[in-house]
Amino acid sequence: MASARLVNVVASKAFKSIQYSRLGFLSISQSNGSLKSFKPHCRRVHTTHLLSERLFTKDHEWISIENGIATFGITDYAQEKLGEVVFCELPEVGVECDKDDVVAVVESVKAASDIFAPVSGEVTSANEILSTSPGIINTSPEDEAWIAKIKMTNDSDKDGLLNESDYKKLIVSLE
Amino acid sequence: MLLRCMSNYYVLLNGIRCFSSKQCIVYTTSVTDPFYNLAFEEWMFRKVDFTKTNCLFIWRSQPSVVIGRHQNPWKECRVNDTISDEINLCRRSSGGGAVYHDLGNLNFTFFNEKSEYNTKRNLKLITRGLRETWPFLDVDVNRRDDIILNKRYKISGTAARLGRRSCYHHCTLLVSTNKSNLTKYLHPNKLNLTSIATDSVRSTVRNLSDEDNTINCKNVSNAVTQVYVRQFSGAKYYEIDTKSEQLLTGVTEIAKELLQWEWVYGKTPKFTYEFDYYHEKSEQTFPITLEVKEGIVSNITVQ
Repeated sequence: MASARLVNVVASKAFKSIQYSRLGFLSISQSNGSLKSFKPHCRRVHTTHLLSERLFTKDHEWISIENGIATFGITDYAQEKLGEVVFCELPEVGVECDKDDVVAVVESVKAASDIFAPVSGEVTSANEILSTSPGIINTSPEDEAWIAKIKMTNDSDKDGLLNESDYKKLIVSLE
Repeated sequence: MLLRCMSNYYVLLNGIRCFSSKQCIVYTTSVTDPFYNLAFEEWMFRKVDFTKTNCLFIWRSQPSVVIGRHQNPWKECRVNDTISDEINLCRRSSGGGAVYHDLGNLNFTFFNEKSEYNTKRNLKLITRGLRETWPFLDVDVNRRDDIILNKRYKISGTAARLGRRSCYHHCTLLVSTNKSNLTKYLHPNKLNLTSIATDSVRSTVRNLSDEDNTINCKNVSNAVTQVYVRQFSGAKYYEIDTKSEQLLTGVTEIAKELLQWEWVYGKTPKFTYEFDYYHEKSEQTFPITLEVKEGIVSNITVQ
């Protein structure tokens, strides 16, 4: 995509470049090794998940609840911040977890990041495809790369979760 | 030139970002047991709030091979040699590749709140510290977060751990390491192992002391500490006993977890091992495939 680039050099160690795409979207990148900065994007939504309302956590997980079973994964925003995922450590099936327990670990760019249980309950299945193809967390984070399913023990756990509109506001406030 | 920092904003002070509203603590230890030092890192990560205070932990280990969280020890080193030579084999909680520690290697662990996660900043701080004390040193940080000496030799490996509110970034630094032991114990195994475990990326290594034999772990530690504390409005220094259960309630439990077979070997991602077995009596060779799950052979196929 062709773009005009305005380069602002600050000191000799870091620079910001502000890029305006042909479509007028603003994207900002920094080259100082910090977590990747915000790039506006279309959130990938697939029709299979429109059937149940999608909820989100402040830790950037998405949850889809149907018949008391919560399927969850990490959001597109989270996978972009992580970078290329090279390994996903899945929860053990049958294990009981409390809301906010560390239930999975994702490794990317030499960093191991904790993923937290969005609700309390029993892990009924884990997405084994992530064991052999962890990269789908980057390519399809909110569809194919679901991490696990939890049979909820406490229906009120979903009360603290964010709806899509509130989650979008959260992302904007972080940038 | 001194710039006044505004709260919550980073400014540039001679190229170093300034957290002027924050304090820092620099921990050192005389403990060289890697299990306890790794346990101390995990303890800090789980229990300490870094919103007002950042920490730097500088430590060394007895000869040890330290593999990343999702690595395969049988692929990264000769496990039997490490056991027979009484070299510690540790699996850390952070990602990344395998490294060799001995008393000539310095480890730096930077503890921050998650929003301040920045490995390049930390590594550039180390290279700046080195160049301020030894201006002739050609050290720089590459895009893989390695510190490179003379544009060629890797002298540092990096890994990190990110939680909900906190994170840590730790790295090694080859000061006066026994390079022949490093090559011996980090020797990639020629066994035919197939798995999705994180692979190490091998590089040619060199010590800082090869450039100047007055460079040692103590003066490197001081050089880096000096640059680190300059970022903050105040600094404290503690020599900590990382084995002290009295000071660090729960650290012994974490060290025990790190010592367990289930963690060191059992955490290995599943893999297959193919080899040929020669049966003397029948004078035939059989290709064998072992499937290994959680460190234990789960299936054997003989073709």
